Amino acid sequence: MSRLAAGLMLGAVLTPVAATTGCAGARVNITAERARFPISMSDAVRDKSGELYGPPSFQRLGTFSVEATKIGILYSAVAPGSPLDISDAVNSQVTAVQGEAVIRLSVTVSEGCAFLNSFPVLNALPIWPGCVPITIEGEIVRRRPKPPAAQQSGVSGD
Amino acid sequence: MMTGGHVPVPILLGPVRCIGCEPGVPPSGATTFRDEVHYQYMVGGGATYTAWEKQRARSMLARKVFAAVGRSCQGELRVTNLKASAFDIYALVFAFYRVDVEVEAIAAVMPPEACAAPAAPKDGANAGEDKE
Repeated sequence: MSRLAAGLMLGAVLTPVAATTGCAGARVNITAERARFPISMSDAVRDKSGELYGPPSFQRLGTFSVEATKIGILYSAVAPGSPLDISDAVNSQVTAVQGEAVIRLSVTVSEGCAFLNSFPVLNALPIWPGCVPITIEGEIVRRRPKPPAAQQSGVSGD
Repeated sequence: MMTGGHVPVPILLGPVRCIGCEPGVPPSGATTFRDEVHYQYMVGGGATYTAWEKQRARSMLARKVFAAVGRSCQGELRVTNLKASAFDIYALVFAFYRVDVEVEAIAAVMPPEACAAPAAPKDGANAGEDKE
């Protein structure tokens, strides 16, 4: 009987603690293994000859954008569906505007999953999903045609 | 936000290293770069007080890259790992929230003939302009 009482007391103490304790989240790797165009996180991309191109040499054709929310379970240790491959989005969006590259690629994690990740009580369970909302953006560009003078004195490194 | 900023060095994600190039295997590199941006918020309370801390780390990737290879005609980075995460934990009167983006990259060596190519874009000389 005393064991039962002790168990009940322990439960009475631990239940509120468990109810006010929890964690959740998610993590994801971002890849572009099948991309057919160069993707740069900076302003610069080279061409085949090794010449370096920056914004003045580029014509901006549009914005590359991917938004995704990835789920994690077991307190973010397991991420089903990871990694996030942006290859198809790159290939289709760049092809659609006849671009040659994506520059200024940026990755942003918003706070959109704060509610799910901090959901009371349930997020103490390992099967409770957390999530990470990701926005990936960049600029789709192509090289500007060089003026005739530049073409004559231009790429010497070929 | 994780980005390479305005640095005249390609920081490449994926198998294609240049305009017009075929996808290929990333070269091995000796120098590894790592950078992280994060935002975290922590709050804890007691009977008589509440303490909180907010922290934001901005990207230093452009600065690191430019310092290492920005002045070299052979500068080029290949991203080997790009990871985003969000995590939330609370226990009684303590709560912690964090989102972050991590990037790892290696410096790839360009063929020597690339050094004969025209100079980098003029506006790219500003290494310190990180967006966030």
